[in-house]
Amino acid sequence: MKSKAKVVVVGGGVVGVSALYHLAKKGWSDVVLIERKELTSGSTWHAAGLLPLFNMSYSVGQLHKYAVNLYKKLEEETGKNVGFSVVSNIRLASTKDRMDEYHQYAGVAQTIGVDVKFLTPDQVKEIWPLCNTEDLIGAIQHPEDGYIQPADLTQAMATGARNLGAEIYRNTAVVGMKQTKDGWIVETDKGAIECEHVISCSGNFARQTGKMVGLDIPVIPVEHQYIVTEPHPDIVKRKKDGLPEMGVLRDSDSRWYMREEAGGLILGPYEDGAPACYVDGPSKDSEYELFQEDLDRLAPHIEGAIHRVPAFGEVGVKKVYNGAICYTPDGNPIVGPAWGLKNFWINEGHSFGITAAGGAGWQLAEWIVDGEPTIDMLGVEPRRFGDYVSKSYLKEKNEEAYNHVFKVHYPDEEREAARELRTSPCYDRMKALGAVFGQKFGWERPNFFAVDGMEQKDDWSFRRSKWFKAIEKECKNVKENVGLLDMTAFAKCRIKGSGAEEFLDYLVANKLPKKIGRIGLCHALNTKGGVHSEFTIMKEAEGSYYLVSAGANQRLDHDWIQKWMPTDGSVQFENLTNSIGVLVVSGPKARELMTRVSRDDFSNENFKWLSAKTVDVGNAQVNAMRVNFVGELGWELHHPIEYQNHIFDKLIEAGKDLGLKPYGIRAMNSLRLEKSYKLVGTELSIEYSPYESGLDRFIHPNKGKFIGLEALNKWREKGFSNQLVTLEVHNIEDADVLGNNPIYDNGKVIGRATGGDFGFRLGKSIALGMVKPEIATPGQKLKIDILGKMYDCTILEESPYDPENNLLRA
Amino acid sequence: MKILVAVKRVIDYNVQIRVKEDGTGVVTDNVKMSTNPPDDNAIEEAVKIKEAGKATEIVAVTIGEEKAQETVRKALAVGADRGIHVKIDGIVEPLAVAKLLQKIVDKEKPDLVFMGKQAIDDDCNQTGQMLSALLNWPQATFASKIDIKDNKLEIIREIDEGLETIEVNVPAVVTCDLRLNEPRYASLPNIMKAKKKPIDELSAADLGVDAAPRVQQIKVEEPPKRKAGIKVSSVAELVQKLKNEAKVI
Amino acid sequence: MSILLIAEHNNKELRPFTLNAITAASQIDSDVHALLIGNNCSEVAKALSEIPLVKKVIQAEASHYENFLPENFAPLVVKASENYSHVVSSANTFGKNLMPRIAALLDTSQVSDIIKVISPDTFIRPIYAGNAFATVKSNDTKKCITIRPTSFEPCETSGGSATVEKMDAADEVTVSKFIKREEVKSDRPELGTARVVISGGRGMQSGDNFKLITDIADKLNAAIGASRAAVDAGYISNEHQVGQTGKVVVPDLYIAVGISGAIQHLAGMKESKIIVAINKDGEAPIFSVADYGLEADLFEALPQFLEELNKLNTIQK
Repeated sequence: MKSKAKVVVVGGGVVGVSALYHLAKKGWSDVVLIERKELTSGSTWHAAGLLPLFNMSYSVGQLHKYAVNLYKKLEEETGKNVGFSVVSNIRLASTKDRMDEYHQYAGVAQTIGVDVKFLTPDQVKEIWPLCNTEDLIGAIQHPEDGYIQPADLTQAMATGARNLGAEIYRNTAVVGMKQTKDGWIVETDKGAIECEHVISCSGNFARQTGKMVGLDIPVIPVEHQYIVTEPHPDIVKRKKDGLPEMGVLRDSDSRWYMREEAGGLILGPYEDGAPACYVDGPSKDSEYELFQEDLDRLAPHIEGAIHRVPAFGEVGVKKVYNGAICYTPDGNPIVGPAWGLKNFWINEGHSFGITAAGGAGWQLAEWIVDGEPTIDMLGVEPRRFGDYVSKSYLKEKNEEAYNHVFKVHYPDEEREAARELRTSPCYDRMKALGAVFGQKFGWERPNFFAVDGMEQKDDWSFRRSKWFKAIEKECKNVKENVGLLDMTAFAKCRIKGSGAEEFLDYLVANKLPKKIGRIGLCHALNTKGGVHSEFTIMKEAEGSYYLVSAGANQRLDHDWIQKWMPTDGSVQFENLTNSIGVLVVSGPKARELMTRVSRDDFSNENFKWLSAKTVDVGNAQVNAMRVNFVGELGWELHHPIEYQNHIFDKLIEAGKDLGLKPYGIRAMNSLRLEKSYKLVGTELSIEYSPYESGLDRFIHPNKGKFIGLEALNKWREKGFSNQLVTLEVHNIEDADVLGNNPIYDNGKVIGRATGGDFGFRLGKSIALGMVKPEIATPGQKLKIDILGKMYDCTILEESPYDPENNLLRA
Repeated sequence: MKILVAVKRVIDYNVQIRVKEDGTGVVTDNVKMSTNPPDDNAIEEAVKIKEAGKATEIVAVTIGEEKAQETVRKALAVGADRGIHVKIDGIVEPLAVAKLLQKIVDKEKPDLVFMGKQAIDDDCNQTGQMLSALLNWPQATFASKIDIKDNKLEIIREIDEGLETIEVNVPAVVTCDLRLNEPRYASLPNIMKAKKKPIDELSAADLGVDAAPRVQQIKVEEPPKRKAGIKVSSVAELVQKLKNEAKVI
Repeated sequence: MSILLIAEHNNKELRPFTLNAITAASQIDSDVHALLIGNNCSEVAKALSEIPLVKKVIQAEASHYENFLPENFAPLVVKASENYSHVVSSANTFGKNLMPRIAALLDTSQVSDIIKVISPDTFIRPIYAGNAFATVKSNDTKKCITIRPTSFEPCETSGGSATVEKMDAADEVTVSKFIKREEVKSDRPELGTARVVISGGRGMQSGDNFKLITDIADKLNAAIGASRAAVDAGYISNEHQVGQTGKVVVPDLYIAVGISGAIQHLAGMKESKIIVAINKDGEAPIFSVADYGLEADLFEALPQFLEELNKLNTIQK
């Protein structure tokens, strides 16, 4: 065994082996993998081997697409057959909402180049004669996917890795890891290895591995069963007659997958009630462990399967496999850097590991060798969960993520498990006012307010639903009076020290606010010039800055800052997220309102746009920042969190006859779109340069060095392929743009929407999208696909509502 | 004829057994369990005899903890008519099982008692023989073929030397070998229907049997680990080692 | 204490495992008496009396003991065992068939298949197919024990001079009748119980190539197995499949040819006594369980293997 290597991969399932393989392919042959038993131990060996291309997420979809293409080529490269049966995959729909989901997905598929077809029930029957299609509305088919032999796939990649010089040590267990100045020492039961990077791919052991380095990794596996039947004469006959295999069938509404296996069938449901397993970690000899089957909890899905494929009920059950599959709170894996640790990478929580392994290995290799991933990895970002993810939270959410695999993934869904964990002080008051909550990063946030007799309940859909009218009221009230928004979930921190200014100037592409009390919108680019984070930065004092960013990105943004901070002590970081609350007042009557609750001067002359002042609201001292995300006159009131209810009550009291009403996140989204305001993860991403995202006035390439400047300049020389535009969509009936919709010009896809909604102040259906620069001119007519139907749209000028920002600056 | 089939719930034969660190036994918590494989052959044979019209009722009986019921349910799913579960926790030795079965035989009055020849957990291979002795019935062990002729059974048994054919009177106890038949798989509709078939629950006290163990388990250990192997450099060396070192050819 | 050892024989000579059983019995106590039940078996009685470890031979003869039916043997053994503390026999099919019947009549909880004697009441026996060893203590006053022959050396067969005592036969029990016995010589041993198994994997590349394997199987009197991959590829039919969804085998010798050793295959054969792997990929997982691994091209190695076996010139039993 080597005593030194560039990278140590911990774990020899398909995920770990893929990571090793991709590093070797990137030219890093001095890499090793350590596996405590044999390759494929744990979950890989008993996986059903399905390769679903279908995934609603833009990042995960790209990872899956890469993998399916890679696996096709592996035999040629390594001489090892991977047993890839490209038999296609059909997903059935028996409800309208499911078809909406498929149409929404088809849009995503278009934008990432995945081939998907819509089928009629009769077409389904042609491919799957054993399928009962009477009550189906339709289906989608992925001709390119199918299933694979997990062990063969793993061995093929292992061979590929070894051929390129990588080494694999089996029957070797990692017992500890120590951080060194430039990397790590990985201690095993057969000796120690010094290395630069460690990638954790330990599957069911994820939390144990994380513990070795002080990380609380948000992965706990859940039991999943699949049933294997004995051969069925009809299927055996089909094979004898030379007919093709029927392919993978997924009855989404009945929540299961099915495929042929040795002349019989496999059925794998995703039922309610599957328990988390290995909550305190698997035993060290559990590599081939399977659990007791429980057919009772599968009963409704078995009935559904027999209804759909009667042949399934005609043959005996040969075996039931019940094994562990890793899960995370939202069902997507975690692939990327660990927080707080240099050169420690996490590749865990894979629920579709056979498919995701390929793409995850690919991007991690890019990230480690070249410094950045090449696709937007936010969907699988390890730092998208915070330290609120306790073990009990994890157990509840992961069980929920499991039973949601086949539930319709509404764009506005707010899952119910483990809720009301993080509440801001005004939670109960908002609830009493009719708030219907959602959560972000664990924080409860009002999504909208149920008023005028509306049920205080959410209503999910791909189309306009019950809350459409609610947010119409909220938006109109913001336009005419003043609204109150709880943004306590914002990520907040303080950067101070003698080196603070220099550091922040290097961190972001904009010029920092010079004067004390001034605010600037600044963007941290990654080393390749894409947009990583967006901060509102306020200069509090000399050498002291207050940074605010999106609540969902707290861990991501703060980890980014801390990893780039100098280590000589000249810069100190203080996380203020949980100690500062934020209430936002916005609307033409905002000034009037503030004057009533504060003795301080809120006049335009003395409290300009993009400035901050310490004021009193009632008896509470507040950092009032004149900035907001909805394009109206307004202030963000940042306050020590214990004052929140005091401030809240004062505002509500004073605002009674001003028409002060609370509004929620969904209204906020409609309002910001009318201003063409951008969000990290949709309009802003590492895949787009800030220029493509329309951030021109926030980028100062001549101000001096900053992260990503060199790459950005080179990119600009090469030329940009996208331009962010604001669109008006015409003739909408019941569904606005959601995001990821393909945009067409003359029948060709020339862009994708990044977000959309109905703009109530404008009275128009609005979308933001990335299109080819050549046609990004206001007035340009295009077409956009919403749930399978084409709509005309026109490019508008940026910020169609109050383009001069008169209201903001009033 | 009425056939009583005894089935046992054991750790699934595919599971890699782990010995508990404190040496008190083998880990059974959260471990996959299933029907003792030769008991599946016993059930299958009984069902085949019923399908051939030579039996009218099959009763499946199991002795064990609460979850042992699952093995009876499985028997019901492949064709048994009724079930009996004698609920006892902990180890029940073959002698106690035989005594319990004897009492059940006295009640049910079956013509034949079938069971697997050996349980793959304790590997005792005693129960069928003991039951025969207590009932003073003939025994036909390690059966690989059963033919029913009038009121007798002609059985082919697997013995070390080859096969032995014997003829026993009915009533008799037969213990089944894996080669007796190919157990059928239960279809899901039958598995679901089996949930409705009746299972009587009894205790050892109900049957008047003292099921306390007489053999004390002092400790359980792992066998010596498999030695690491070696790579040989030629076929000649391989053959030489197999002959002289391993002595297997 | 005196040990009553039930001799296994064919009325002409002792069957070999009796010798191992005598060794085991003598480890419990030196006062071992052999019980010989049969028909016209005086030659066996003589052989028993010459075994140094046997202190006395008790012989019971009758025509109804000719074929060792347990319904006849058990009552007689029970009668004979009156003054003995232990009744012992080998745990092969003879002993397995007979001893539990005796134990039930004696109301004793039998201890089966012991591999070691710790003391007259404490023994070690394998459980879970030998994946664990249990140390057990019998609390019965009379103990019925069967022994695993391969764990005890066969005893010396000459130099002894025990007396032979006659015992009256018991009445015949007629509920069971012996018909016939045949030694099976099938073409190939049953995969599930064969002593030697040779299996082919995807490396065989075609069904025709399996002839290389069958030739060797003939030579070794082995059963033929296959990996899932070979069966999936259509090289051989699926009753040969060894592995998790195929058969689980525990032969004395398992030869895996062109098999990579996926976990599902290992699950079906890793308890084999000796495992040989022939594969051209030195890193294949099969090598981690192989006692002897040969990294070679099977298309060269198999013919060489056959040649070497021919040189040994043995047809293995």
